[in-house]
Amino acid sequence: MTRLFKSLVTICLCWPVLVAAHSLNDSFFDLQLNEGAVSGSLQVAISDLEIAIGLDNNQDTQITWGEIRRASPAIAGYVNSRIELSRGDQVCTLSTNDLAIEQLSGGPYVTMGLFGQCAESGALSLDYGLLFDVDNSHRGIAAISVDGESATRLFSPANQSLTLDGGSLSFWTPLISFIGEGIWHIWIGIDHILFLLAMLLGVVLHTHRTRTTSTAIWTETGWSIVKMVTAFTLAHSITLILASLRIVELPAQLVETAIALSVVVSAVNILIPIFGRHHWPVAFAFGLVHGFGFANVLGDLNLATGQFVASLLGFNIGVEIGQLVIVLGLIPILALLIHWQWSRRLTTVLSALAIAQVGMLWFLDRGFGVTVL
Amino acid sequence: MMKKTTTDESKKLLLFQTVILLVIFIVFLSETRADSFVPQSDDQVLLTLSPAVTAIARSVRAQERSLESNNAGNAATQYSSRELAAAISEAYTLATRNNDPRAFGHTLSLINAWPQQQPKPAMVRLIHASVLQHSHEFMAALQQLDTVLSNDPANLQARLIYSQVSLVIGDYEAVAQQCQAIEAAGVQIYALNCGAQLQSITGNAEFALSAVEETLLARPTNATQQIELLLNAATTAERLGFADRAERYYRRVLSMNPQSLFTTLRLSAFLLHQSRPEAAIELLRPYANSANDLEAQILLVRALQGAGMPVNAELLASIGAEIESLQRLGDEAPHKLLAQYQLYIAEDFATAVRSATLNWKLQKEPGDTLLLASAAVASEQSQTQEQVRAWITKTGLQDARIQTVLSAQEVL
Repeated sequence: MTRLFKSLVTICLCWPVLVAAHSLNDSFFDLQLNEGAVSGSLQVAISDLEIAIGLDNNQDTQITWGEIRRASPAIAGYVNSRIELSRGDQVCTLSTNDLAIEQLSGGPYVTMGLFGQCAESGALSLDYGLLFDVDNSHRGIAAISVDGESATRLFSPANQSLTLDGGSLSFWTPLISFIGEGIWHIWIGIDHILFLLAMLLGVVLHTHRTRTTSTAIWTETGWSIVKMVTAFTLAHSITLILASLRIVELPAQLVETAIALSVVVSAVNILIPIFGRHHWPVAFAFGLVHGFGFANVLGDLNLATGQFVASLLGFNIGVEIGQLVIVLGLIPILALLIHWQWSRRLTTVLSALAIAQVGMLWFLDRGFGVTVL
Repeated sequence: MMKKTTTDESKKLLLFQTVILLVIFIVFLSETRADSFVPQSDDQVLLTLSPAVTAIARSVRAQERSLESNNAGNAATQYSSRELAAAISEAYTLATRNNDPRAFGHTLSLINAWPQQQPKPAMVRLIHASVLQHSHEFMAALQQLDTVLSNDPANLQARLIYSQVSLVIGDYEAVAQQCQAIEAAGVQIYALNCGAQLQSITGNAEFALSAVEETLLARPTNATQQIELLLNAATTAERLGFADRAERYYRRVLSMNPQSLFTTLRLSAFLLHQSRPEAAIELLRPYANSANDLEAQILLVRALQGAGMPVNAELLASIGAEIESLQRLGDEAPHKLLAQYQLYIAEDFATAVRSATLNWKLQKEPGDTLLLASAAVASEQSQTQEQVRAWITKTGLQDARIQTVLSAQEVL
């Protein structure tokens, strides 16, 4: 128990190193399915096969080619019992052949050919269960191609099954995943949020200044917000797509500086109505700049080419959802704040100064490398 | 150390980076496209098994034999709980001793085989928590520890692991609670170290260092406790910028435990930050060919480059191949290692920031924050730099390295 206690304490102390020692125990699985014909290959580390089925018959800790060759029926049986493929309602046949050796970064691997036959149509189901019962850290990395559509999948103890249903392979998964990325980005992107806040305040205060009846104020405010948000959305969608497709490219520093400037200008507009009633054209113009900022983030995500369209669409939808939630959340707060004259004045001055100041600090920092704080 | 470059220096850097990437690409390409081969002779030795793999295979065969002899028709009857607990303990000891990912995975497989109808002993849950911590599943680890502590609030091991996990994820309130509980249990050395670890990253680093140094001088401690205290002192002194003291403490730990990869890595990184790459090379050379120690290899490349010495193409290729393999793990990839590689070797700064940010979402130790700050400065991402500044303001973290990075816009 004392030894165990020391081990537990040691791992606490040394965890950064332990996490650095990462997996050499992945297998690589390449599978193509063309009109029902299955072909591909599987690579499993020799060390993993030793653990799974035992190769070292003479127990001298050295694995020879002879030991692997003699174990080939056991290897084939193991693979067949742990990888199951079916299409429609029919189980596919799957066999291995041609054992060979390949030296990969994680050490020597046994590589084998895979072939078989599936039904010609229907959803493809794949169950992968190599090694999980004896090594929970094992991962199976699979490149799967079904009738021309391809994707990469990671099999783990928590994720041993995969069903591929036509187009779902390459479109819906990244789409859904990138909606989350888009929402996350706008929520953590404080510059985008401040710009939206300043623009919303500008719209609300402008209608207060120019309209006298309550109905007129809220009708025009609502309409102006819809126009402003739509223009911003449309504009940043355009540049996000153009920049992501590398049709138009701008230096990141220039874009980030311009975004900071947009925050400053929109904050000034709260105090001095420089945009007049033209909030939506201004939002459109600045939206073009913010779109390049979103594209920089998306570019960092290193999208696979085959998943680019879905990922781009998903990211954009996510940004819009995140933006809508922010706008809907801010409107009632702003309505309350500007309801009374004293709070309206206070909100106007404080928010304008605070947003302008933050924007100016970003502008100096991003544009000229001047860090004030 | 790499300063913001002038235009000429930028060109040189770009050229250097291109050459390195080209070498990696060519070697990696030749590596990956090397056809598989069929050995000519049955006697050809393809692999000498590592002690860890041999031991895991032995454990698996024993499990299979037990299953066969117990009851071939009843799959639920595997090990008895006692046998299983012993196997788990043995597998975990093997994993920590060999730092072998397969051994950690095997330990987890054995834990998962625990019969559902039988309650898990505290020892199994503690091991489970430690293995989950190892695989970055911090919340799941804390759940195991909560279960142990709800049954046995005085369990010291659980409190110690809890405090370490909470330190990693930056939950300093939880750390403070655990330190208090450890103190209440009357284990003064552990309580002091726990408190000092927390204080050293929340604005009281000088006080924490003094407390640890006084303890080292005044109180009798066993070797494990001494190593803990010395490491705490070394890392705190390093963050405070007390280079002489930091090096002295690191070297004392290393003399007590020469095999400690953790200490070797920390000391090497410290020497690199002190612009002493030659001394770091001396420490890291033994790890040049160890595919299991990627962080050491990345540090070695940085040290060689810092010393103006040639970097072995095979080493670069090996690192590149391993990184390529890790990237395939997607969300499960070790983002810290990827960020280090992208920042210091590939010099792909934008991607490095992304990896460092993903890592920082998971773990917020000073080293993780330093990595994030360096990547943010290299890629000139002011928002991320502000994020780091906000964290420092919030926590009171004192770290001379991070301050240098942020104020002088230098990458460490």
